[in-house]
Amino acid sequence: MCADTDTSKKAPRADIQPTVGALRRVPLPPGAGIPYRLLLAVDSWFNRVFTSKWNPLYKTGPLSMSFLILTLITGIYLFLMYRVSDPYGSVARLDATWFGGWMRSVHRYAADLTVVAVAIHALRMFMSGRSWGPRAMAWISGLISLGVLLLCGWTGLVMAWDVQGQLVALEGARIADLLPIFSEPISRSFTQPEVIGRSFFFMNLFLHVALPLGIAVLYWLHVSQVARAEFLPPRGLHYGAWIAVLLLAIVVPVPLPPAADVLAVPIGVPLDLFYAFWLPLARSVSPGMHLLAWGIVGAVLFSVPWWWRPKTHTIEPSVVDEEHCTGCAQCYLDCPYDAISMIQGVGQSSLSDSVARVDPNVCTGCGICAGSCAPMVVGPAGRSGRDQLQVVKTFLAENQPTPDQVLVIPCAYGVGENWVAPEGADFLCLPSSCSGSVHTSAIEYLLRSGVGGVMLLTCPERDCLYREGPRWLNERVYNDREAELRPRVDRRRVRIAGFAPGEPEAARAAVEQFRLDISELGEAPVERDIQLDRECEVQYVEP
Amino acid sequence: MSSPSAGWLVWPLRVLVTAALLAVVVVAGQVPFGRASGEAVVRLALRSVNTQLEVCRERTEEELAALPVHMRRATVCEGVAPTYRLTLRVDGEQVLTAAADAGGVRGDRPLIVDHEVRTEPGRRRLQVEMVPLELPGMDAASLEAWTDLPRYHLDQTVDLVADKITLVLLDQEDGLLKVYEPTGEASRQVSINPRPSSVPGSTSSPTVS
Repeated sequence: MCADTDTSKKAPRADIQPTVGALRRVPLPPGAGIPYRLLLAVDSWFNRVFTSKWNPLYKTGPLSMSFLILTLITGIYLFLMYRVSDPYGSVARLDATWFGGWMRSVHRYAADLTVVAVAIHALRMFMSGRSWGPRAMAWISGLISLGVLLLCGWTGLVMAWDVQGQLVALEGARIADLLPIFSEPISRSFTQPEVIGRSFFFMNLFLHVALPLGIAVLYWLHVSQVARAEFLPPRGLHYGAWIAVLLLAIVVPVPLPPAADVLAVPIGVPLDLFYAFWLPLARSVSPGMHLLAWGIVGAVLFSVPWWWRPKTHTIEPSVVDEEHCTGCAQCYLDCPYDAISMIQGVGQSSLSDSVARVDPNVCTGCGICAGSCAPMVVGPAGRSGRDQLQVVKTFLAENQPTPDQVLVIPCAYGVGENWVAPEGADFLCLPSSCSGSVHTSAIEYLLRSGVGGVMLLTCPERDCLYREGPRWLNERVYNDREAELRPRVDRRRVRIAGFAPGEPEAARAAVEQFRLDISELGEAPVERDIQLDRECEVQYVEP
Repeated sequence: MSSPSAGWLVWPLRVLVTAALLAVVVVAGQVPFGRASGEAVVRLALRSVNTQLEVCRERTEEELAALPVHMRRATVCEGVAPTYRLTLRVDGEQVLTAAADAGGVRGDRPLIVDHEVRTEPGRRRLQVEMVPLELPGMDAASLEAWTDLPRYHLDQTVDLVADKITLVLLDQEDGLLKVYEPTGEASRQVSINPRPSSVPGSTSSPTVS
């Protein structure tokens, strides 16, 4: 059993130890337990409403791109209508028409939601410990992207030159005046009438249009260390998000604030807190203190990869037994982080001209390559296919499964220990650090040894901690992707289902259904003296 | 709450949750900021150039002899920027006094002043003065140069409006301090002073010494 039936004690733990040592979890940073549990609780609630397939929190990164694209599309129309010679007037004329007001509202809401999505995405990465080690560059580039996005938003607020835009310009200029950038304080420009001219608004417009290009470059950097980066969310979420924003802009149009007035004290200015969240602080402390606050927050955020990481553990990168590497390049193809490259003519392999090489600085230690390697010669230390076979053998010797028993392999980051076996039911449980790392030979060995069925409870495919674990597992078991589950294995006795940590009941129901289905198949045949590792050597090494 | 995946409430619940989340976005995107204080604000936003005086002296024979022939200029001059003192009186009461220095490491950049003072609204007499402070140990020539430095005075009665800003600016072209008054609700249409001396309460036109 993975756990007893007392669900009240089943809060997911960040430091769970697997029942079998070889299938280890990658450690989370110290203190990640509480944030991680909080994250799981929120995810769990959203999963109950939207299901893990459509949980928008799982796709906040791609959703931010979805909203950004909507912002860009509406921005083109607004750009054509905008006049630098009459900023507020042109926006007011635009806003006076239904279509123009709608486009402006969509633009604003989409821009707001972009920041929301980016912020939640960053928070999720932080809370789940995905901001250090090989992911440090993604964290840093993501923060810079957020900074550029905010800058772009500020220029957008200033463009309209309403009371909010005036405040943003004035307080922003007061901070800029502290920096050795301008020969004279520029904040004066925003306190006097008839000083701000067309050139200022032209430059502001230029920045507002050019900054998204910077975001594009930063996005490329942000995803440069992942393979098959997901640019947009699944269609349902993508179009659902767009429809929601388009409808929102019809139902609740964004009102246009009064025009900027340098001779009025700001009263009841409608602040867009997603971009102008700092204005209340700016108006209550000196520019120096305000700049100091920005500096402290920036330093804390940018140093996350250094202080929010395990102190005693390190990621165990995969290693390749080059002598036995066949050069098939499957691990290279499957690696979700582009950490593996194929090197020609430098390896010690007698089987191939090229061998796989793992970049330990990029490898997250997910072990997905272990599941991809037919000869079982790649994987993190102690977690290769061969190691998994040893674990399985030990497990079977200790647990003596019966032919009608179901063995559950839950992903530690999915329902994991949260999975609760039905009361009174007899299940075996062997947690894994990532379903995508489970080698099909281990599954085959279990089934041929007489286990009634193997149920793999993966994490939700749309929130895999290692991006592509469930995807590759499904491909290997059902679609003959290397290293495929051999045809001789009865696939009726294997089932894969994805569940989030907050879906233990659904997972339990799925396992129970699988048990019932297995019982109809009769007892599984039991083989003795299975030599899968020997077969592997004969097939890949000895020829 | 059980999983809604099989219930008929699924879609209404999803729509409701989505609407609630979007409502948060709407509200957080338009949070009213800034409250009326009932006070009037006087903003002094001045930019003055030519606030540097040139102090010259004759080199001694020994100094000249120590220099290469092509560098033996008898008179050496250096720019010195005195500190200016800015004062604001409202109805005769001093409400602001501040020192202002020209910008730049060598003080050769414009002198810029940006101060805001809150006061009671109503018809008030504003007196603004910005004058250079004396430099220690000035000789006669320096004193003459110092005397020629621009000095700014304004003495004018204006209507200070609650929650509005009365702006005092320095006109770069004629070197006069001028007042931009908020004119009620239509404060964007500013009036430019100096007012004629016949305006009640106005004691003098802005002057430059």
